[in-house]
Amino acid sequence: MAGQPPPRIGALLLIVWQWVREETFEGVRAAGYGDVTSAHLALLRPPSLDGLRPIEIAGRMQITRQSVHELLTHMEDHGYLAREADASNGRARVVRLTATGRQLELEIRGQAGAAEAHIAALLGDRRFIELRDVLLDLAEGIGTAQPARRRTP
Amino acid sequence: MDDEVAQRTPFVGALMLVGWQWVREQVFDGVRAAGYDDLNPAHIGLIRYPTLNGLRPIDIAARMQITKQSVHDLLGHMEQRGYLVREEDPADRRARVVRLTDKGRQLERDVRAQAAAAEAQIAAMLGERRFGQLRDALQLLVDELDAARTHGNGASNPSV
Repeated sequence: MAGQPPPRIGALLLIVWQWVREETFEGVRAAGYGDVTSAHLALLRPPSLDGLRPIEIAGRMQITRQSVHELLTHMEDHGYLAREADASNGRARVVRLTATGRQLELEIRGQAGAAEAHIAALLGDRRFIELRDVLLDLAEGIGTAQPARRRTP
Repeated sequence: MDDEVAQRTPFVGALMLVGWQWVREQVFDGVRAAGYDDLNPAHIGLIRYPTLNGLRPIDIAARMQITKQSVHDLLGHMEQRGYLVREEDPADRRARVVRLTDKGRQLERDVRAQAAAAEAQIAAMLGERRFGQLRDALQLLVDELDAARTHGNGASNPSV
């Protein structure tokens, strides 16, 4: 776009990651999961939401509790999860994936792997490995710079 | 067995998400420190490259992967505080688009300055050579994916 400053590294990371997310979503849809949107798939991003409380999910997804409840209700209505009493706190509830939900989680992982293979093909092996190594260093550097602010996969 | 390997190996996509989430936190912390105490991370998250200005709520929902209702809640909050207004879309009178006010444009400039600062921190973490590798690989991917998208299904993506 004319007149726009070049994207910063954050925007580049986001754009490529969004592409991975879209590819993953399209793959999951094509595998027969027609009743979930990509907002629902975002719920199932690693680490697994199994055992988390809705408020924790809202925190990691950076969305409101109301939105989390809407997404969870849809997933519950379609048999992917249930909300149960939290064993450690009777008033709170935690999310439990059903067998169908776990299967969907596996499908998402497989599709994310396919998207990664596509990226590797675009870059070629040498540059792909370079990218992966730099990203690993970055993840490590971030963890050192700012420990335990949020859970990272 | 394959599942086990896949579970342990972080996907490049997941790593990019980790990197971006860190940038997002840096940007939010910096923007808060600059005095914007009436916005939470979800509001700041609406401000993305290249701009929030001119987008339709439905497109914002798609790119942020949140419901239309959430977008309306977030935009409503920002509208009440004078960062933006929602106007009729000149291209489609039934739709509305976001228009940043002067206050909203200043916020966008502050967000960009924080994104630049976060980038500088990443460059310092990695060193210039490896930072260059990261930037070049991501830029190449952005260009390739954009070209593939344009050729593939003709759908345009103004954020790329």
